[in-house]
Amino acid sequence: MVSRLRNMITAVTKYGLPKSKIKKLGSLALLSFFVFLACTPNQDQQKSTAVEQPVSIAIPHFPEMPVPENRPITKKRIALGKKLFNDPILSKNQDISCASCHLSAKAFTDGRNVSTGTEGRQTLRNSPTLFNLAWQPYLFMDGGNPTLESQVFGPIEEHTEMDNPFTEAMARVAASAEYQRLFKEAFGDDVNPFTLTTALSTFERSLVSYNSPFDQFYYYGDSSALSPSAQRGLQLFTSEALACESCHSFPLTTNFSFENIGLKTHYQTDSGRARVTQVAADHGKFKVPTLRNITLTAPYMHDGSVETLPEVIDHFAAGGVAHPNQSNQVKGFTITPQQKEDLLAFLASLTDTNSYQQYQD
Amino acid sequence: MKKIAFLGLFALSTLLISCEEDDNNTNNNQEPTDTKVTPKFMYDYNFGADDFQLDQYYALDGGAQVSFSLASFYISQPTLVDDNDVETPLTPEYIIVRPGDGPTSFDAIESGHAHRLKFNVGIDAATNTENGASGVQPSDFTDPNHPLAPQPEGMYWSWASGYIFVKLEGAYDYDGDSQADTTFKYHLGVNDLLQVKDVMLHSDMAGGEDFEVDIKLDLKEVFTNLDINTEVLTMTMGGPENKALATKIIQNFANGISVEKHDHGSN
Repeated sequence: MVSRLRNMITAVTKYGLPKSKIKKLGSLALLSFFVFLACTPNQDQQKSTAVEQPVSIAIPHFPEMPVPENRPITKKRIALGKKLFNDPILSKNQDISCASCHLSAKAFTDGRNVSTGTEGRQTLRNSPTLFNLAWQPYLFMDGGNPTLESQVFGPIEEHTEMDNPFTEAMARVAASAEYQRLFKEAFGDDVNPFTLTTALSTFERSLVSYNSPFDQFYYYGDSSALSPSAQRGLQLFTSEALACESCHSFPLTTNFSFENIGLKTHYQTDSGRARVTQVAADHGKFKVPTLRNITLTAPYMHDGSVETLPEVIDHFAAGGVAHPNQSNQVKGFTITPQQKEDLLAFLASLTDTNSYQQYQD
Repeated sequence: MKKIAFLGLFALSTLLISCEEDDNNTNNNQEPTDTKVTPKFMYDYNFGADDFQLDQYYALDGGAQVSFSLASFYISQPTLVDDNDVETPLTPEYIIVRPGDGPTSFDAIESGHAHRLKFNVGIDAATNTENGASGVQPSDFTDPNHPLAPQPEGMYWSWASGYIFVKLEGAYDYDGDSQADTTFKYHLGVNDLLQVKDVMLHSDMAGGEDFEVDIKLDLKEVFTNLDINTEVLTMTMGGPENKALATKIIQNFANGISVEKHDHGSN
C-alpha cells in the first residue's frame, strides 16, 4: 500500500504539484483513510436502515392514521405480516392462526358467538372485525391493551386461543429460513420482538375500510350511492330519538368510549372494562364497536349473544335491562317496521371490503 | 519518510479506537481499577430454613405442602446510597430474577461507602405501561435477551398492559401425600403494588474489588395469612378481590426479601 501511495505521489508530481506538497497531502489522505475506517458505522447497524419507501395510507375524510414513527408501513412489511397472520406456526399446536378467528371473507370475524381456539377451547368473547384497527386508541373490548404491537401477545399467549409463549412462537419463526429472508428484506434485521410484532401490526394497519356507499353519499356527494330507504335509515341513525351516532360517530362509526348498553342484568362471566380498571362503575361496559361491514360480522355483542341485526335494533328499541351502569343514551325508542327496514338498509350501506385490497400484494 | 511513518503509526492507532457507541443494554463488566468497584447481586432462594428449588414440595403449617413451578420477579432501579444520601444508580437498571440464577454484575462504580441499597420489586411506573399510559412494552425490543423483552414464562399481561412484577405458580398438596390437590397462580403487578426495598448495608466498598450483596428470598413468607384452600388465584386485575389478594401476596413476598453484604466465610 505504501508503494502504491508512493507511485501515486510520483504520478501526481508529473502534473504540476510540488513533491513536498504531494507528500503532505498523501500523509493527510492516509491519516484520513484510517480515521474513516475506525469511524465508519458498523455494517450491521447500516442494514437496519436499508428498507423500502414507506407507504402512506391517507384517507381524506378520515382522521390521520396514527403510525408510530419507528414503524413505517411498507409493502414488504404488509406482505410479511399477512403471511404471519395466516400461519399457524404461531400457535402451540400449530393448528390456529390469526385468520382462524379473523376470516377475510367475514370482514375479519369468524361468524361464531365466541371463537374456538386450540384444542377446541372456547374464548370468552365474540371475534371483532379488524377493519380500521389503526385508529383504535386501545385494543380488546375492554381497552386493556395500549398498542397494536403489544396486542399481538394476547391471542398468541391466551390459553383459549393459541396458548403459546410468545418467545416460543418467535423462536419458530426465527428458525425458518424463509422467514429469516423475509424479515431481512422487510426490516433489514432478524426476527425479534420488535420486528415480529411490527410485521403483524403493519398488516393490521393496512386493513382499511372507507369507501362504502355511505362514504360516497355522505362525504363525496354521490346522491345515488344510497337508496331512498338507506337515506331514511341514515336520518334515523343520526336522529335525536335513536341517538345511534352519539356513540357510533362518523367516520369510524365509533367514538371508542366504553358503554354499558343494558344487555344483561349481571356480567359475572365477563365484567368488561371493569376487568381492567377494577372500578365498579365500569362493570358491564365494553368498547363501542365499529359498524363498518356490520352486515358481515354476525353474531353481535361482546359475547355474540344476539344473532341478527334486527334483534340488535329490537334490543336498543326496548331500552335495555336498566342495568345500574347503563348508558343514558340507551333509553328506548319507537320504530315502525318500515323504519326498521330503512335502518337496516343504512347499516348495509356501511359495507366496503375492497378498499384495503390496494395495499395487499 | 520518517514523517510518513510517524503519521502512519498515528493513523493506525486511530483504527484501534472504536467510534461505535456501546449497546445500551449490555453490561460492560469493566474490570475494576484501583478506584472502581464492581457491585454484584447474589441471589439466594430459600423456603424457611431450607434451600429452595422449583418443583419440590415444602411443608406448610397444618401438614400441607407447596411446590412452585414458577417464582420469577423483576428488580428495577437498584441504587446505592452513601452516608451523605448521594445516590449511585446501578446498571443494568432492570433485572429478571429466577430460582437458580447466577449473580448480576453491575457496571463498575467509584469506591466508597455503601450506606444503603434501594431497589424496586417490580417495574417503576414511568417504564411500566398501564391502561394506555406511555411506557415500555416487550414489543419495543430488538434485543430478545433484554429483561424487559418477552420472557418464556410471560412477564407482561397479554390481555392487559403492564409488566407482571412477581409471578408465582405451583401446586398445593393439602394432605401431605406429595400429590398436587390444586394449582395456584399469583400474577402480581400494577403500579400501586410496586414494592420498594430500602435496606441498610453500612459497608465500605474497596477499590479494585467486587462488592457482593446477597439478595435472599424466603418464599415461605408468601404464605403469611394466606388461606391456601381458597386463595389460589389472582391476576391482580379483574375485581377488588383480585387486587386485595395480590396486595397481600406481593407485600408478603417483599417482606421475605432480605439484603446483606455477602460474607465469603458463610459459603
